[in-house]
Amino acid sequence: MEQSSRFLLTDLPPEVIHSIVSYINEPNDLFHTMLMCKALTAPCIRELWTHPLLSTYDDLQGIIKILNSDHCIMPYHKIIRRLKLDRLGKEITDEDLIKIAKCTSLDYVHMPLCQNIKGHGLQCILVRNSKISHLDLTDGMNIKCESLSYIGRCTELLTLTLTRCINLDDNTLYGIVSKCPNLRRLDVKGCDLITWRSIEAVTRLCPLLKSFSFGNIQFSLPAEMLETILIRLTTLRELNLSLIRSLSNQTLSNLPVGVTFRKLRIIDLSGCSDLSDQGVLHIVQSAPCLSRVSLGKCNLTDKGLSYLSKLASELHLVSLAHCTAITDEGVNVLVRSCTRIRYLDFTSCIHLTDNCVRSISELPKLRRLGLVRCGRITDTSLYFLRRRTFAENTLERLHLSYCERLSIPGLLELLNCAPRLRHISLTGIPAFMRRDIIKFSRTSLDGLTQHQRQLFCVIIGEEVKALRNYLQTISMPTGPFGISFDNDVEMFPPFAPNNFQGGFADEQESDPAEGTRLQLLY
Amino acid sequence: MVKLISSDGEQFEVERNVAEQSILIKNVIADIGDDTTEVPVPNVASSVLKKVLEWCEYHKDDPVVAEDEINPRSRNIEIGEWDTKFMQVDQEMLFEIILAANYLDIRNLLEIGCKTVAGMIKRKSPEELRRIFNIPNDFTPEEEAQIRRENEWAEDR
Repeated sequence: MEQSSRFLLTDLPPEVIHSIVSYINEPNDLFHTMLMCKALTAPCIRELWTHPLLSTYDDLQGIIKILNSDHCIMPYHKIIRRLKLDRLGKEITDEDLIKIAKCTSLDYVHMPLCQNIKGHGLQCILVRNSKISHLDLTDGMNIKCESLSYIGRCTELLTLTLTRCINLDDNTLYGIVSKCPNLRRLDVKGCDLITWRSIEAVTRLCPLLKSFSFGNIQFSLPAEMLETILIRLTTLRELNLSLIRSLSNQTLSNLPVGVTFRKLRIIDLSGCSDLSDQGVLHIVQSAPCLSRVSLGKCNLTDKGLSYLSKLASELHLVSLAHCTAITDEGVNVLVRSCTRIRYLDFTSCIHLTDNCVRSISELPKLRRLGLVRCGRITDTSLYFLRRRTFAENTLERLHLSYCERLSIPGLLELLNCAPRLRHISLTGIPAFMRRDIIKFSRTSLDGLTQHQRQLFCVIIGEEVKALRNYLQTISMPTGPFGISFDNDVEMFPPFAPNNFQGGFADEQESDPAEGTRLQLLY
Repeated sequence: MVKLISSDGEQFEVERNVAEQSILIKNVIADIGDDTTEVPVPNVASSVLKKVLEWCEYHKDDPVVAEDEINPRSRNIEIGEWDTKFMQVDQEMLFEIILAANYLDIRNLLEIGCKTVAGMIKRKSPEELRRIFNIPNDFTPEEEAQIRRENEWAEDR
C-alpha cells in the first residue's frame, strides 16, 4: 500500500469510471467491485440494477423486498429501467407487480407467459411508468380488458406485444393505438376478439409501424385488407398474417397491379391453407424485395416454388413446412435462382429426396436446414451436406428428426465436415436411439409425452463436437498408421491393451474409454 | 503533417490522418483553418502522447463507424491482439492513456482502455481489487454491510 501510484483508478473522471463499469458483465464482478471503495459503489449499483438479471422467482422476490424497504443506500426504484422476466412470467402475480410498481423509470417490460396476471398489478406499473417503450405481455390470457386499456398511458410506446391476450377487444385496441402514434412494432396474434375494425384503425393511427402481426385471428377480412395495410403503412417491413383461414388467393389478387411495396421484407402466411400457387405469384409481384417468406401449410406445388424463385437473390429465408405436394424439381428450381438463401425449412415435405439436398448443399450461405420427417432422405444427403470444402461449410443448424433412414456413418461424415454446426436434431431416428448417443442430447422440453421424451434427441452447442469425437472412437478409430480398426481388427497383430493405449498417446483426443472398448473386442 | 506539442513542450510530427483520430484535434484544425500545422496538447505529457500517437498510427486506416450505428447492447468485450499487447503497460500509464483518450476524444482507444481495466476486475474479491488497484477501504463496517445486504442477490451469479 505504501508505494502508492501517483495516479489511481479512482482519480479517473466519473464518466470514465462509468464507462469501465459498463464493460463489467457478470453480476458477481459488479457486486465485488461495488464493495471495493465508495467511488465505485454508485456506478456499479447503477449498472447492476438498470437491468437486473432475474433468472428465478426468488431473485425477483429478493429485489422486490429491497425495493420496498426504507433507507436504502441508493434509490433503486429509480434505477431499474429494464425488467426482463421471461424466465419467470408463469409465476408472477398481480401482488408482485404492485410491489414492482414502486419503480418509476421503467422503459422496457418484458414478461411473456404471464398467465396469472389479471391486471390490477399491471395497471399500477403502467400508471407510474408512462415512459415504457417496450411492453411484452405474451400469453396474458387473464388480463382484463380494462387493465389492457391502461397501456394507452405509455404514449411513447414503440413495441407492443399482446400475443394471445385474448380479452383484448376492438375498443381497447383502438384506445391504445390512438394514444401511441409512435408504435413501430405491434403484435396482436391470437387475440380472438379483434376484428378488421380495429386493425383498420391501426393502419390509420400508427403510420410508423415497421412490424405488424395479427395472424391467428378468427374474423373474416375484407377483400381490400392487404391493399389498405400496405398502402397506408408505407414503412412496413414485416407482416405476420399466419393462420388467417379466410386469407385466400382472392384477397391477394386485389393487390393493385403495377404497384410494388419494396419496403416489405418479411411475410408470414403460414397456415393460410387456402393460399396456393397463384397467391404466391401475387405476393411476389407486389413485394419483390421479400427476404423472408413463411408459407408453411399453404397449398403449394412446385409451380408456387417457381414463382417464389423470382425473388432471386433477395430471398434469405423460406419456410415450406408441411407443403406436402412439393417435390425435388420445385426445390431445385428455387435454390438455383435464389442463391443467397440462408434458412430453409422443409418439415414434412415427404416427397423430397437426396436429389434436392444435392442442390440445396450448393447454397453458399446456407446456415439452417430443416428436413424433419422427410422420410426419403438417406445418408447420401448427409454426404452432400459435407460441402465442397471444410472452411466453406456455413451450416449451423440441421433438423433431421424422424428421417428414419439415416445412420451413424452418414452422421459422422457430416459432423467431421461441419465446423460451425451448433444444433442438430435427431429425434426418433432408429439408428440413434441408443443410450450412448442420446446422452449427448439436451434435456427434453416440457410438455412432451413419455413416448416423445424417449425419442427426444437434440444435440446443441459443444455437445455436437463431443458427439463427433465419440462417434469417431466407436465407428472408425484410426490407428497410428491410418488403419481403420473396425474393419481390420482381425488383421492387426494382437497386443495387450496397455501397449495399445501407448500407441495412441500422441493422439490429442484419445479417450480412456476407447481402450476399454477395444479390450472387449478382443 | 501536423505538429503536436505535449504539456512538457515536446514536439511530435505526425500525418494529419493520424492526428485526426482525435476528434478534439480534428475540430481544432477545422476551427483554426486547414493550414494549421501546430496544435498544443497541454493536458498530455510527452510519454503518454507518444503512446497515444503510436496507437493512432497503427489504427489510422481503420474504417470509421458512425456514432448512431453502434449498438450499445452488442458491444463485444474482445480486444484485438495488437491492442492487448499495446495495453500491457503499468497501471499508471494505462490510466494516463485512458485519460488522454478521454480528453482527446479518441473513442476507440478509450473503449479499449476501459475494457482492459474491466478485464482486470474480473473474478476478484473486493480485497484483491483494493490490493491490485492500490485503493484503501473507505467504507464504515455499517456501510459495507448495507451494500452487501442490498446487493447480495447478485453474488455468485
